[in-house]
Amino acid sequence: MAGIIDLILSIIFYPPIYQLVLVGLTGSLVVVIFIIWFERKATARVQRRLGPYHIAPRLAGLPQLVADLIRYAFQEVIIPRTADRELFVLAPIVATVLSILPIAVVPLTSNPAYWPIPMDYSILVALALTTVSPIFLIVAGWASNNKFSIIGGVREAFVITAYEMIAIMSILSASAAVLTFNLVEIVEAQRIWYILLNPIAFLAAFLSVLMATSGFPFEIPESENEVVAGPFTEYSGLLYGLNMGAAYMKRFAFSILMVLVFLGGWSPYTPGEGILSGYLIPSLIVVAKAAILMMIFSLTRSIYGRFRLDQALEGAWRLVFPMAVLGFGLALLEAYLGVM
Amino acid sequence: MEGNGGNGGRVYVGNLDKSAKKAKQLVMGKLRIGKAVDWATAFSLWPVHLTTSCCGCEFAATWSPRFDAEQHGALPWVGARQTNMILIEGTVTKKMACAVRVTWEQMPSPKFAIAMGACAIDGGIFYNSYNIVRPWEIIPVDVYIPGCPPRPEAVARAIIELQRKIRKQRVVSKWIEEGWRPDKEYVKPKEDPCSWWRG
Amino acid sequence: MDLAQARKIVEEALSGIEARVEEGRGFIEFIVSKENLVEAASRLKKAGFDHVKSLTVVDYKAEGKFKIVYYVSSYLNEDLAGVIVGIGTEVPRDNPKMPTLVYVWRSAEFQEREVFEFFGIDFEDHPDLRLLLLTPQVAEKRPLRKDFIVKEEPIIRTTPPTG
Repeated sequence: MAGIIDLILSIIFYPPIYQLVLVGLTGSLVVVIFIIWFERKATARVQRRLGPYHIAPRLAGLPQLVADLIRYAFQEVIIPRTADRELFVLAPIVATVLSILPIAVVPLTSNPAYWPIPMDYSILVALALTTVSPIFLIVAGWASNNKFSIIGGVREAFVITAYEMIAIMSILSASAAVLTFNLVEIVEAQRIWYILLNPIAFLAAFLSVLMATSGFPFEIPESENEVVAGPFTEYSGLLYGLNMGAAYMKRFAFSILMVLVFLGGWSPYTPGEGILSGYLIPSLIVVAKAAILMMIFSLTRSIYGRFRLDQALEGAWRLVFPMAVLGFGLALLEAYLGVM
Repeated sequence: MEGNGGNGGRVYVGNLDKSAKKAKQLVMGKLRIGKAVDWATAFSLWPVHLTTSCCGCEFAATWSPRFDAEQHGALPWVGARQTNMILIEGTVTKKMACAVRVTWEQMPSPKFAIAMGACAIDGGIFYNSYNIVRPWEIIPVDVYIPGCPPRPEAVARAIIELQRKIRKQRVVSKWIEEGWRPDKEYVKPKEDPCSWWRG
Repeated sequence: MDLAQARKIVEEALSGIEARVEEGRGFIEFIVSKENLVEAASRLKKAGFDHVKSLTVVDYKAEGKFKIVYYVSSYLNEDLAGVIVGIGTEVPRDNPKMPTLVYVWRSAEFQEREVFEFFGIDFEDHPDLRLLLLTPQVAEKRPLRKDFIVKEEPIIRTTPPTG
C-alpha cells in the first residue's frame, strides 16, 4: 500500500508534470479565479459599490468567476463563416498553453532532485518562452477576419516591440548582478531581496509585465471603447474564456519569474529533503508571493485610465527603456562592488 | 465486407447526431451538471451594450455605484459575442430594429432578453407611430419591465426574476440538452428589419 | 441688444432685397423669394450671423406652400449672440425645390437632410442628400406633411397582441 502511494506521489511530483499541470494549469486557474474576483471586488470598492455579492453572500461573491467560467464553457462557440477555421480554433489554445510554459522551466526549490531541467541557463530559457505566446494573439486577430480583430492584433504587435526589450533587460539585470544565468543561484544569492538592491529594474519589469499582459494603463490591444474586444472580438464561449485566461496566465508566469528574481523566491524558508519540505512548501511560497504580486498588478485597473498607443510606445522607449538600461548598469556596479 | 482492405475489414456505422444527443443527456442529466449550468448562467447574465432609446440612462444608473447591479453577477460587456443577455431600452425605431436583430443573432446561444419601459411593451406614448417596432416582434422577450422610464430598482428586479426563471424552470440545461429553447417559440420577424439596409 | 436693433442690422444688410418681415413676440423672420435666398443668407453671414440654430418648415396645406425658415445667430459676435433671427423662403407644395444653404452655413447640412426626409423638400446642390433617420419605406410617405394621417388605434387593446 505504501508502495502505491509512493508511486503516485512520485508521478505527481515528477517535476515537469508537477510544474506544468499542478502549478501551471491548476494552480494558475485557481490563482486567476481568485485574482479576477479580487480585481472586480477592488474596483467595486474603489467605486463605492459592492461588486459580485449575491452569488454567495457569505463568501463575498468568491464563486463569481466559477459561474462565469461554467457559463462560458457551455455557451455556443460561433465560428464565423469568413474566419480561417483551423487557425481560429487553434490560436487561443496554443496561446494558453504557451503562456504557462515558462512555469515548467523555472526552479521552485533549491533541492536538485526537483528541478525540471538543468538550471544552468534557466533564466534565458524562461525569458525566451515568455516571448512566444503573443504571436498567437496576432494570429487570432488575423484568423478572425474582422476589422476590429486585425486592428487589435496590430496594436498587440506594436506593444510587443515596446515591452519585450524592457522585460528581458530588467529581468536579466539580476543575472548581471550575480554573474550567472542559473535561477537557483540567483535566488540563493539574495540575502537581501534584489528588489531592495535594484528598485529601478523592478519598476521597469513591473511596467513591462503590465504592458505584456494588457494591464490597465497599457490595456491597448483590447481597449473596449476603441476596438470592441481587440483580437478576441469574434470569439465566443470557451474559446473566449481561454483567450481571457491566457493573459492572466501569462501574468502569472511573469509573476513567478519576478518573484524568483526580485522577491527572493522561497526566501524565508530553506528547502530540505523529501517531497514535503523539499518541493511542496517552497513552491507554495513562490505561488503565494506571485499571487500577492498579481494583486498589486490588478489594483492598477481601478486607478488608472488608458494610454493611447503612441503615448504608450513613446513612454516605453523614452522613459522605461532608459530606466531598464539604468537598472542594468546599477546591477553591473553592484557586481563590481560585490554587494550580492 | 469486401473492400480495398481485403478480408476482414469492417465499417462501423453510427448516427453522430444521435450519439451527440446521448452524450449531452448523459452529461446534463446523469452527471448532474445541468443544475450547475443553470446556477452559473443565472449568476452570469452579461448584458450587451446596446442602447436603443432614452431608458438607456436608467440602464446606466442601474450599474452605477448607488444601485450596482453587478452584485447580481451581471456585467455589461461591449462585444455581442461574449454576452448572453440583451436589455432593450425603450422605443425601438425601424432603423434600430435592424441593430437589435443583428446583435441578437450575433450572441451565442443560451441567451435572454429583457424589454424595458412602456415603449418596449406596446409602444407607450408612440403607440400609433409610423416609425416604431415592438421588440416582441423581432426577438423573444423573457421579462418585461413597465415604467416610463422604470426605476433602476425595477431593472435589478427584472434581472432577479430572470435568474429565478432560469433556475426554477431549468431553462439553460434543457436548452443545451434539446439544442433549442423548449419553453419559448423561435421568433422570426415577419418582415426583414434590415431590408432598408440590404437594399 | 434687443430685437429692434437686430432688425435694423438685418434690414441694413438686406438692403436691395425685397423681404417680408414677420414679427412676433420675441422673434423676427425675414421671408425673401427663392431666388434671393442665397444672396440674402450670405449677406447675413457677412453681418455676423455665423451659424444655423434650427431649421423649421411649416406646411400650409390650404395655401399650397411650404414656409422654410432658418434661425440663425452668432457665436463670435457677442452683441448678436443674444438674438435669433429667421431668414426664410416659401416654395410651392407641388414642386418643392429650393437652393441649399450648406455652402453659406455648414451647420445646416444635417438639418436640411432631416427636412428632406420628413417633408420631401429637395435641396438643389446639397452635397450629401441622403436619408438621415427614417427607412426608405417610411420616408416615401413624407410623414410630417399635413396629408399624412396617422392611423388612430385604440389605446386599450381588446385583442391579445399577435406575434
